[in-house]
Amino acid sequence: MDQFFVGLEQILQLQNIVLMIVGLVIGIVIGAIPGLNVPLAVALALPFTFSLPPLAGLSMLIGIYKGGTYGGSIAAILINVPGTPAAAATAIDGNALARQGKAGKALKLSIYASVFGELASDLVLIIAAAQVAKIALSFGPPEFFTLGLFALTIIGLVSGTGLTRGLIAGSLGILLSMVGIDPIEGEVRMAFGIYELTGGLKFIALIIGAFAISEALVQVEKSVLKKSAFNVLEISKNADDNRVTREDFKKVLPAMLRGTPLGIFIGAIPGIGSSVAAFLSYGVAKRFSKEPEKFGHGSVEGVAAAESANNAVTGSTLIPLLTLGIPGDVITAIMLGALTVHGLIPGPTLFTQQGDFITALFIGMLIVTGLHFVIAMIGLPLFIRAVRVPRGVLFPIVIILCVTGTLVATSSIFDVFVMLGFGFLGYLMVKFGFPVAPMLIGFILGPLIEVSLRQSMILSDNSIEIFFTRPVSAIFMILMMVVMMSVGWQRYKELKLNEN
Amino acid sequence: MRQGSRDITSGGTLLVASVTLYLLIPGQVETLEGDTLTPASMPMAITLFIAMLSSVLVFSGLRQRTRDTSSSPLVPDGGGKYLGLTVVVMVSYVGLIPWVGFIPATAAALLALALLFGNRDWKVIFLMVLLAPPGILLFFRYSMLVLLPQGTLFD
Repeated sequence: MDQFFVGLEQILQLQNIVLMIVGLVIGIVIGAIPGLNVPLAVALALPFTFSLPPLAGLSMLIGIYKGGTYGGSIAAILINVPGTPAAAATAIDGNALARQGKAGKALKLSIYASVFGELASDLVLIIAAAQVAKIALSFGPPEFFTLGLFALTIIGLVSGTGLTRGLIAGSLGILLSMVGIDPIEGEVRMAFGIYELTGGLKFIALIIGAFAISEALVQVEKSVLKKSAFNVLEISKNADDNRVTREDFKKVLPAMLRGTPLGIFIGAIPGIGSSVAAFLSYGVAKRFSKEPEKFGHGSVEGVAAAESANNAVTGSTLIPLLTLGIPGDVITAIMLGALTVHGLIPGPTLFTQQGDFITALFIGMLIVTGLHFVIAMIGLPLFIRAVRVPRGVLFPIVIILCVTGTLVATSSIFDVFVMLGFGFLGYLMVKFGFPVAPMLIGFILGPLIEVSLRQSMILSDNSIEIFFTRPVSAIFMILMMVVMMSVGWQRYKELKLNEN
Repeated sequence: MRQGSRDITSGGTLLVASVTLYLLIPGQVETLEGDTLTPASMPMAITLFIAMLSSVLVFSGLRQRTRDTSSSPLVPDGGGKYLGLTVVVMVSYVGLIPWVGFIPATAAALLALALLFGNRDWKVIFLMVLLAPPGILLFFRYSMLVLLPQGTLFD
């Protein structure tokens, strides 16, 4: 109980609350703008958090994460272009409702469902994290090696653009993390005589380049190819069209109660992410609905199912990050970077050594969820206007902030050039169909995988048996093989089907 | 560019790059005698793995190209001139910052980037160029206590 009050005192500082609000507003606005996404927003905000206390910085990033995941639904409903990939399922029925003049109802419903999903997910995080951390305290190098490999394999396999491409992107990330000083023997490697590379490639340069600059380069092509403006649907003047009635609530509650646990479960598994959760929840809601024929034509259940599931990911995705030091997606990978900059190493020891910090963080997540509801309801008219911001204003500013943010965080013009290089690499990856997320996760997990592999080899006198004789690492190895074989089998069946 | 060609181009490039890196890595690292896993082991294993996967990509691209009869590309190509110009503007901008200072370099970059992103509203461009550079500079100076480069040209 003492720890609760210490945590409460730490989080209830004016600076933290203001930064939560700032984060939520930035997140919702950026989520609402088609072309900008949550990883881009979190990446741009990261350098600003370096000069803040860790709790304040993380509060802002969590605000952006939660706000951004919800914000995507605004563009999805009003212009049928999901502001974020996670909102694609919301667009199906949300935009259909908006075309019937019920945009206000769809937008409010998406707020209720998002906050419902977030709150449940936060509570699961609070209950489950300490238990997982207790188990993880018994992990040694072999367990961390197999866990890191398992997480990276899953992320590579399920990141959307094919098995081979996902694995290449993940491997590329690991390779990039190895530039600089070797973590065991202290030898400089792969610096190719360039002094600035001896300290390794900077995490911030990779994040900003690969997620913000690459997006700007993709958009500059689009702005040439697609000149047409978005057709933003108007909110009806009739109050009944904008109200969520008691009957609506009765209809959507079962969909939210099914979608939320689904989102929480998917969030806790590294790599799958909120868009999968939203589509799965949408499918389940349709299957169990009394009115499945309304799905696709403006079903309130469809909007609630998708939104509750995609926001339910936001809390549970922190479970592997905080307890095991394994980021489940790009955003938690960026948060891991923010924590390590402040000397906080995510993993089971964080719970034993920084209990007050963890308690404050958990209370902070609940506060962000409460603020999310208030800000989204009050600021809705403002956020709707964000959908109309033209690319010609937005992206030049984004590029300037990318350069300035990297310069401030690294104090090196060389690293800003590296950031631009990563931007071009990210653009090429998008262009050639490679997922960018596994590269970042590989970059983050690379040192953990390498160090724990080499420590395991020392422990076992260079025998790989250690990975199969210790129960936890054996389970991860078996899981990895099962997942790889099932994805490979699926791909083989698809190929056979295409050939026939 | 069609799917098959994309696979061959990306796979081929990665294959050449990873094999080159694999050959270069041992010369980059001093290794101690008798170690099973040296600082060079993991980078070499990873490059080998990338080379293997790239070969799979090239092979699948070749198979796909023989079957692919569609004429429409999967990803619409175009806008390459604008893309190239944007890259040139960004690189020049970063190069100019330490030389002419943050405000003039940012103002020039904003003007060029706004035009490249299709903005033709001169009133908005003028306001962006006028307000954003000093605004960002002052934000960093007073909120984050960071001084942005003032440039050496006029020293």
